Amino acid sequence: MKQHSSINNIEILDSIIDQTVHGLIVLDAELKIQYWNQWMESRSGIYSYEVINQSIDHVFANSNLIRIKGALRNAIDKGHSASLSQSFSDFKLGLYNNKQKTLEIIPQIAISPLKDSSKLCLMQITDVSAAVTRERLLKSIANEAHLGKEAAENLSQLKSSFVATVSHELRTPLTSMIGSLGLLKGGVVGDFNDAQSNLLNIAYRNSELLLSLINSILDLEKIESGTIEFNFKNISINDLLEQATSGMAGYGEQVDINFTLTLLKDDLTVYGDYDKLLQVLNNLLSNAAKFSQKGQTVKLYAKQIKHFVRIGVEDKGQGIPEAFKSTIYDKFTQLESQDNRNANGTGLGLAIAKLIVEKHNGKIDFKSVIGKGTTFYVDIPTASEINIKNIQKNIQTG
Amino acid sequence: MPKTLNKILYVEDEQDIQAIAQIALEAVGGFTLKTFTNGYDAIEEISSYKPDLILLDVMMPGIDGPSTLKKIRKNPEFEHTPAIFMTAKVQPEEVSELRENGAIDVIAKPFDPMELANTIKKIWENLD
Repeated sequence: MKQHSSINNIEILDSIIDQTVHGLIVLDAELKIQYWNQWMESRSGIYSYEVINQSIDHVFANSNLIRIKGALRNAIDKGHSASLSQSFSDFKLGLYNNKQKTLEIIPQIAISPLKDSSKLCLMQITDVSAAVTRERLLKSIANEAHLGKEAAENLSQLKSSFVATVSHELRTPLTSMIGSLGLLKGGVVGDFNDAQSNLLNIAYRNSELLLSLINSILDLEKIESGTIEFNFKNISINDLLEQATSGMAGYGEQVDINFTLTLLKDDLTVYGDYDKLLQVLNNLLSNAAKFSQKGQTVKLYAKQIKHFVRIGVEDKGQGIPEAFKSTIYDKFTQLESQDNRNANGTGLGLAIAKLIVEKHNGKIDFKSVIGKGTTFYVDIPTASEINIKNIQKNIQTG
Repeated sequence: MPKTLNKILYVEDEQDIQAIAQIALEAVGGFTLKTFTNGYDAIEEISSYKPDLILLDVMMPGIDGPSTLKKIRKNPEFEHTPAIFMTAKVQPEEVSELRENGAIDVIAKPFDPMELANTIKKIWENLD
């Protein structure tokens, strides 16, 4: 049984139409306007009485009129509906009469034949300005982000190749300088007096510093850009620690620092790059020595903490000032040691160490008390199937 | 124990580095050296020099160190002459590649000229 709505009052229907948030225009078979709702009046400033019985040609003034007229004819003659979307175009629905008005919106126009009436059709105009603007904005943000990413990638590639080239070009002549100075210093071509030896030592030491700076910059760049190759395999912690201390013994004698080693009772295996972990330990041990007093001891030890091995480097030196703690891993950061023994530092060692440890899914951190000493520790996950997979994933994603 | 190391054939395109290594090996190490700045000349001259050891730079224009060694190895007389490469590239996989190319060892550049002769002596002494 057909239900009858209580809304059968023409005034109510008029009110509904007037309150709609769409422009409603009814046209006859000659494309003359027969109805123009309140929304059209308020948005265009053109009143209904001004356009009734006017041809659409006299009211709409825009380049898409042909398209609109085509759709209207199709609706009237063939009963076809159409939707004309203006998304992503700057088209504004122009209107003109004696007032020369323009509907400042981006319109979506739906055209459909009116049922129960012959040769009339309805044109509905929806304001999609906000949606289109939003879409455009999103599209431009996406574009910019894409361009930005591309530019950043290009720039980073350019930087990598620049650093690699410059480093290589700098290294070659430096190698010759260091070699020549080394031979002179070694007395191979004759002896020098004290002043000459002193100058020679200065030249030699600074050339070596320059070389280690270049090497560190190259290292850092390679790790950051992911072009360095990590040679991961299962390695014994005790082997690594023994190698690290024996490698530092000569340096220890030279600077009068005693390196002691406490090995793990039960050796543990980590999945890592032996040479690079050794580089990290060498850096931590030589830093510890630089900031210790002559005759002091630097301790190297390892212990197991759950699924990690903690390698600690402990000194009884001057400690790290509070202000320095937050920037300690920044590039070119260097703390003055009391007797300026760090003159051969590059300020890149800890930055490199941190990157290397992170490639092992590990963590580097420190505890320091002024005047009492510093302990740097490196936590590396012990070798397990899961850790090995995670590290491999970490390496692949750079 | 191999015979005493005396004659070294040395190929290095960088003349400054060559001069330094030459002093390091002759004056410091007491070896006899014949130097070349490219691989082709070394391949041609090796028969007349008959070195105990071949010392080669890796990266050189024209013909590089590994290719030079390959060509030298084609001469049965030098098929087993110990060879050492000198290179700035000391990544482990590159070193093993050079060993596969017939080197008994690889010396990293930059080298300490006061230690170069010693390093070579040690490598020589460890030969089977």
